[in-house]
Amino acid sequence: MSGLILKNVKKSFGKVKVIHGIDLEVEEGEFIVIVGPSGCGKSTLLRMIAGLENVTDGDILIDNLKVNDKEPMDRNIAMVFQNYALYPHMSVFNNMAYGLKIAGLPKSEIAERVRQGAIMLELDGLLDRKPRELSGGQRQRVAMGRAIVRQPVIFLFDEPLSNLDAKLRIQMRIEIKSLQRRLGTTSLFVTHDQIEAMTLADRMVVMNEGVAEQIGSPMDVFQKPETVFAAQFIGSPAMNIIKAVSERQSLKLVNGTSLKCLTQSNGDVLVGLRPEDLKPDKKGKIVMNVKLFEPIGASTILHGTLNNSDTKIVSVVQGLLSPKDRLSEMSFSISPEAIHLFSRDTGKRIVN
Amino acid sequence: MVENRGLNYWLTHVGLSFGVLVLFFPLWLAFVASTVTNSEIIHPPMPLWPGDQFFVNYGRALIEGDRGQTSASVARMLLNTVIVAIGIAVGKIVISFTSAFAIVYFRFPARKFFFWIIFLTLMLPVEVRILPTYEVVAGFGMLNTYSGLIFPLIASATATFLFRQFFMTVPDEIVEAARIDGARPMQFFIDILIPISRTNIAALFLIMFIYGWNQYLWPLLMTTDPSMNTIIMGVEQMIGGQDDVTPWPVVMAASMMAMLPPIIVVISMQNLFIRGLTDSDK
Repeated sequence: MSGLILKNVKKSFGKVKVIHGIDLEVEEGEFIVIVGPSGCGKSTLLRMIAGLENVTDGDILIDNLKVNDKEPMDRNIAMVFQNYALYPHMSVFNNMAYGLKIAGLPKSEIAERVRQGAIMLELDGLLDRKPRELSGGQRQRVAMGRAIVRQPVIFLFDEPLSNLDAKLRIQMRIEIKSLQRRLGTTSLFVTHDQIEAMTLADRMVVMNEGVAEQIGSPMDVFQKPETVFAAQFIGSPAMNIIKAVSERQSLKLVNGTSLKCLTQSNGDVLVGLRPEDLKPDKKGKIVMNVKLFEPIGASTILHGTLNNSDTKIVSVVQGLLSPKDRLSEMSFSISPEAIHLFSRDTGKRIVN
Repeated sequence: MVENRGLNYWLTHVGLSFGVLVLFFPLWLAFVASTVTNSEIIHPPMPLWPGDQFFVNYGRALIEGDRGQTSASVARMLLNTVIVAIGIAVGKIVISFTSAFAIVYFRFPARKFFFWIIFLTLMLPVEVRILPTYEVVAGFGMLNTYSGLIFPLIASATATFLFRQFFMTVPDEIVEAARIDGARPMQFFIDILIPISRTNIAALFLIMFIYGWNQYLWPLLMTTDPSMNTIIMGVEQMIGGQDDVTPWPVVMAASMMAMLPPIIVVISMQNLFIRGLTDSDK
């Protein structure tokens, strides 16, 4: 049984097409993260699943029931919003209980469910407070509590962590993940933050301009990005993309450097090199004119250009570079397995 | 300027006190005039300190008015005015709150058009449409009734506009959260929208109460029965024509009493009023 199925879901606002047809099958209990830059349609997709936006074309099935025309409350979902969307005049208890009251549950059951949810989220001491008397992290918890007490089939999270400070964000990220594991509820989580996506997801959907560029486990997407976009969006710093011409298994980069790779192809390609795969090597073939050193503690990020060209490249070197190692020209080598090849026409990964 | 020492400190206080004196002098004169006999007022010089007729004059004003010549007793007129002012304030809030709700939260054909029609009525205050309004009210047989005094004044573009602006600052997510919680539009209206608009409603109530209290032209035109007079027009009617002797102390006592209820309302609702106009409790 599937928790959620999207069949060629499309959305347009007037003449503007926002989502161009997305297919997705979510297993029950799976944690799916939809990740992409702002304006890629990821929130719209989530809102369509929630029932806040109508579906232009295609089908949405929850628990194998078509829900296209159902009101949000009839879809058995719960949603956590970016700005929490708590009712400012209601106490924490009432915020969590409001949906249950409307659903007409008996008072004793409402009290019991809210109590359990509050304990789970460590909110039990705060039930009488108003949202404005809570910290950001506590408000976030209340928003999640409101979702939990509904006992929905699916949780929908719309960038719930982006209003928190960096430290709290990491803490809440872990809490969301462990909560989801404990409850086993199918979850969809929208974010623009690729680290959140990598850490939370069972599978992630990388979206760009209304298209799902790749759907797969975080490691799949990282190790075998299917498109140039997915390659550059996942991983930080982003993957270097260099124009090249390939002939069988040898590549000629835009600046004339030749490299060996394992993938066979012929013609114009784009070569993808992860910054951390570029190993400093005095005999290395890839030569970089370094413009800037960014020490970030455990490693140093080098920004520069490929020599004899204006293609920007970035590399990450372990450890701090001492001043005498900070040369304006540094060479790197890369193992042939670490080279990604993409078609220059379609942006798709080339595989043999 | 954060100068709070020396000459400036005293100068500002002297300046302010002088301003207060200038503003309060007429009020003080009115109060003095309400505590003396008529002959003391008519014969100059005008007294500057209260006399001993306070209870006589106020009692007469409250109970007898001007002896029923042209207006009712002040007590009766105060009651009328309280009913009318509250009726207008509550009516305006109910009507404008619901119409702003319709305009902001529902998509219906010609929504913008209706909004601008409401907005246009800003250009048509009572004074401009007084004749047709009179015609309509007379046609319904509502002359000399409370409903006739209230209904023509409760349509309010200003309040509709203010509520609309406030509703547009309510985050969309709250509306959506309520939808996901399963709230129907009227449940959202009652459970969420009214409570979060509380301070705005209070501020508007205050403004509209004063507006209703100070109505002059409309009550003057449509009440012929003295027992339906409102206090503002009643005070004017107590001032006699050329032949009558105007009982000035009684008129002044009535004026003083006409001022009291708005002052009480303003002072008691001051906190809510300021919160309603400044922060919006979100």
